[in-house]
Amino acid sequence: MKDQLKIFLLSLFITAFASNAIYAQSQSTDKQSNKFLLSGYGFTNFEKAQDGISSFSSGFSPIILWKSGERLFFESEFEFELEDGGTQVGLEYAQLFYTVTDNVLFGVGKFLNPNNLFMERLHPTWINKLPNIPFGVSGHGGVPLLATTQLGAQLKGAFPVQSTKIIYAVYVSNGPVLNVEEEADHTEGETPLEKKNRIQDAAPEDEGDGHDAAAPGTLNFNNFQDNNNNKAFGARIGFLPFPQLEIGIGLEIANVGTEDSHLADLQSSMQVFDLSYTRDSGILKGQLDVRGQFVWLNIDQSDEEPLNYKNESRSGYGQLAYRPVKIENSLLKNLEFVFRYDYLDLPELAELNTDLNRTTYGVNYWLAPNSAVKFAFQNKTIKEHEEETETLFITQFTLGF
Amino acid sequence: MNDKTKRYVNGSALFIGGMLIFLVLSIIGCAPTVPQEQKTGAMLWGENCNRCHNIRTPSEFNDGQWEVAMTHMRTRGNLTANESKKILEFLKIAN
Repeated sequence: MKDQLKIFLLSLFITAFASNAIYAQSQSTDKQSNKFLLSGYGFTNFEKAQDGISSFSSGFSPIILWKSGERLFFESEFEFELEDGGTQVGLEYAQLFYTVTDNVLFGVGKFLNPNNLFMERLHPTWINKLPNIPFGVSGHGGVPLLATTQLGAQLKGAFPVQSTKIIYAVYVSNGPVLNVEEEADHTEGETPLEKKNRIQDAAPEDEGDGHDAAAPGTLNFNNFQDNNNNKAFGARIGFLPFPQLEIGIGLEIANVGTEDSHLADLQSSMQVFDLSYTRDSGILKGQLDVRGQFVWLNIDQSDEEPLNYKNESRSGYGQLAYRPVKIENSLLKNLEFVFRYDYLDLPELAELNTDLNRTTYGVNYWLAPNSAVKFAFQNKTIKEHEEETETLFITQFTLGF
Repeated sequence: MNDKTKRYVNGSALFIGGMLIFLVLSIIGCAPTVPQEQKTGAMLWGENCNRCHNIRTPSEFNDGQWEVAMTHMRTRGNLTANESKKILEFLKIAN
């Protein structure tokens, strides 16, 4: 009841705020120093898994933007989704920016992780070319190896170097927390493999995408009240040798153990490589869009159970899309063909060590530049004790505004 | 090398190798670009917006709304101050 009341009050607040923002933005002129913009996106999905029950799902994410004068800017995104028999409400990000110079922006608050290019730039459903997101980039896609957002402060900017461009971001944040077992129950004389099998056999049924993100040895990125005095430090550099191509590398180092515990000195380090390439091709009579993001996450090995194993995880995705925009036929030019391969490899001796490989084939029909109907077929291979294959059909209708 | 390692190495090598080949071919196939300072707002609009999403038509927002949207895109899309300014000027004329 309390939760329902909270959701009702929050909805009321959003509606009131949105109404005010719509009125304000409809009245915005060049001369005003305060300007609002209500933006965002919504979607409805229909999913049918092989041997599963088909279901609709839906979500709505209003984005509220407020520019105050020449230097101050506030941006926030809410997330309303129908999940688990109720409405889930979240604050995706809320960040205040101050423009220090032409090349330096200073931001504080909860901000999209600059090292997670997919989430920072491509996650809105009217931008993402497939109805769901790749492995590793968010809790919505199984076990995350990267934070969706950071809570802290960042400096970011861009500057041209002749015909090329360099992009940078550095941040300090609460950082991730290492998930640990409350009580390490173990059997004397047990080998690591026997222990792994015992824990897996005793583990509760997985939910959602087949994963339990709170399993020992994984990271919890929703660290809104830090568990230690050490902060996470991260940075990303992007290079655009020409406008159509961006190559980025990023890293983050953080202490992930709780202060004064025997795990206090454990560190996580992650490296990220990303690539984006978009180009109109006369020969192909259309637009090519290539994306990739690869993550390597290492967490220090503890001397004590249950984390006394080499804790290294990998995830990544590569995506290719083609849309024949230069063809005269109005039906064909609005079609887009998408292929994505993504994978997630978790440590072999971890409690949760499921390895996932997935291929997705998609066809989109663009109703407008900001609205599409997407159809996708996924084939997922899950390797745990034995190899299993799952197929999934998803369709999505989305609108960005 | 166990199955898992082999699968990881093969998958990673396939993707990174494929990406690198694509990258090299793209670089070879591209004509030299105009220096940033000489680009017009319309050129920058096409180059930058299209890198993440479909281009939104200038008539979708009024001048004040575009000013807020462009500030948002400066923080999100890492536009330089000059790019942001030129694109905004173009959108205000074109809407």
